[in-house]
Amino acid sequence: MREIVDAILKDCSTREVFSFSVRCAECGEVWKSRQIRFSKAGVSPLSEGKRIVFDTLYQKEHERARNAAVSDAAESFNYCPICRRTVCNRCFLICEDLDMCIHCASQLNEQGAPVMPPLIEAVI
Amino acid sequence: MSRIKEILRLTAQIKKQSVSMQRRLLLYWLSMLLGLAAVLVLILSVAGVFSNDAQKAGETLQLQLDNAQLQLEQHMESLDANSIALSEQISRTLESVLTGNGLTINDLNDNPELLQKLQEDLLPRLYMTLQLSQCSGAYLVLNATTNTGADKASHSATGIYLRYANLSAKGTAKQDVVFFRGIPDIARAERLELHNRWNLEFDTERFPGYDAWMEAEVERLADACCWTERFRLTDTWEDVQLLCVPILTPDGRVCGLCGVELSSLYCYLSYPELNGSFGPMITLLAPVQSGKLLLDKGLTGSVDGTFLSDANALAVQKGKYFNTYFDGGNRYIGLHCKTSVRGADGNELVTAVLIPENTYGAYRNTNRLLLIGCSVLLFAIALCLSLFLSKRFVQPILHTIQVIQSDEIPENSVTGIAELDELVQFVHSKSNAKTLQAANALPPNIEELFHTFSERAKTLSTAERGILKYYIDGHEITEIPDLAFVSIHTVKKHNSNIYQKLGIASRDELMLYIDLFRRLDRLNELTDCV
Repeated sequence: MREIVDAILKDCSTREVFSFSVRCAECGEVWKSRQIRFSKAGVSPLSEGKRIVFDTLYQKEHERARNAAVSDAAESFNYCPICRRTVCNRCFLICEDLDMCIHCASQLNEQGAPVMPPLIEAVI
Repeated sequence: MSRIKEILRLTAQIKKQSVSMQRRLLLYWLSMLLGLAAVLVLILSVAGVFSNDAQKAGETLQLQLDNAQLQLEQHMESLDANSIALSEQISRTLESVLTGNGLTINDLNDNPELLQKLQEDLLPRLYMTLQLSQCSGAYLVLNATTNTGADKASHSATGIYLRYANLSAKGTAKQDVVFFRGIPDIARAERLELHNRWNLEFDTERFPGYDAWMEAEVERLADACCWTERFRLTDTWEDVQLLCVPILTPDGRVCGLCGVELSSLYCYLSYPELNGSFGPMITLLAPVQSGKLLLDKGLTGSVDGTFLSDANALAVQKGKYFNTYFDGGNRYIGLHCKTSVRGADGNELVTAVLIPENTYGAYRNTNRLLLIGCSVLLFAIALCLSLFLSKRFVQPILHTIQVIQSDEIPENSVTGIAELDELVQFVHSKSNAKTLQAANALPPNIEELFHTFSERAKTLSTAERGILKYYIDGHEITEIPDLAFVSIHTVKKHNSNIYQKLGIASRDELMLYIDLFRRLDRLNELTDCV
């Protein structure tokens, strides 16, 4: 699942903060990772050498933050085996024979319970 | 043949019976120690420690016989030489006296003055012979008498007979000499004490072989000298043997005898018994006739410690290592051999050494008892040692067996025997394995549980079975999202459904059921459903 999420993960990072997002293909809900501040944010490199060091450090911290974001996102998204889309837990149904997204379930007249209740219901 | 078969059958039957370890070890130890003892005895036997008593006695007797014979022959040869010298001296004196007076030996008869003169001349020489010789007396007798008209003149002869008064074993240097026969005026002149059985002349009837000597023809004195049989001195309690050397006239005829005396007492003192390990050893010189030692005609050394009587004759029975001598009452072991000493009438004189058979028997019995005692002691020591060693060896084994037999096996049990320690550890590990196995034992209502679980498993949906399959394949819950391309929440949702349908409360319980099905090889009941 990590590979699938990794493929659709959108990078929203700036030079100051690392941030990633995944959009549910069904409901459009955007999942956002928690923001992680670059350790050298706000610090201007004094030399070209320091800038290279900061760039390398940025790449490393960015990769680490991305991995963490993938792991977190993988807990909230599922891959629909019918339509091959990645949907959130609220749009993914536990069905009798095969789990699938809400859209496919409605198309195939399959009954199932969502992994997580819809946001509105949850609010209610 | 049938008996051998029976013995073999019994032996085989005995071998089949179980024998305790200690008894078996005891037998091994005993066999080994007795084997060592046998080797020791063999070595000692080869070294001669246990050699035959009879052989040893024979060797001892032979050694003593050789010594005694050498001593006796040297003694007798010395006496022969002194007596021959005395005879020659007397012959010369006689010749000078007779020739000087123009007389013959017969003219000495009835001539007391001449006889006295002659004896006065001969006394110093006789005295010196007595002093020089290892003997108890010395004598000379001439075939003449002082008074031919006397009643016993026919068997009366003049002469001098000197004897030691009191013999002792310390030698003859300071012993008193007494005048036994001869003219008393000479004794008085020489301050010699007369013997309490003194007589003027010799009684030739009592002198063994005297007449035969006077008729004898002698060519060489050395060939002629010989010893008389033992006889009792007239009017005394003493037995003596006389060495007889003829006194020759100038024309070569025998006109008298001279020589030395060996009394029984002298021999008794000169040849003491030797006390050895076999008993007192007696030395004797006696003639042999018809296979018997005639002790009554010979001389015997000290017989202290024995019952040997010198009045008897000893019959001889030849043996392998020694002879047996018996006189009707007592028995002796010993050896004898011929000597160069000549007896009267050509009798053969032998030297003999004897040991009382009872003392020899006592020695042999003592040796046997000692040997038997040592053997018994050795056996007892071997037995005790075997008991001790086998008990010491078996003790840790028995302890180990007790430990193994008990329920509680100490983990670090050290017996001092590596193999036993390994055995205890092995048993301990086996016991642990059994305990674990018992702990993993299947519950008694397993079939019912399986059946219920199988039935419940059939109620799972296809998607839930898919998740269950991941668990059966050994995957962890964190691995399933990546495998099934679903979120962890989806997996957990399925899990809660699975638990609810299977009637279990946790993943551990689920895994326990899966393990049970796997161990009983009934996993297909779950996978088939899946």
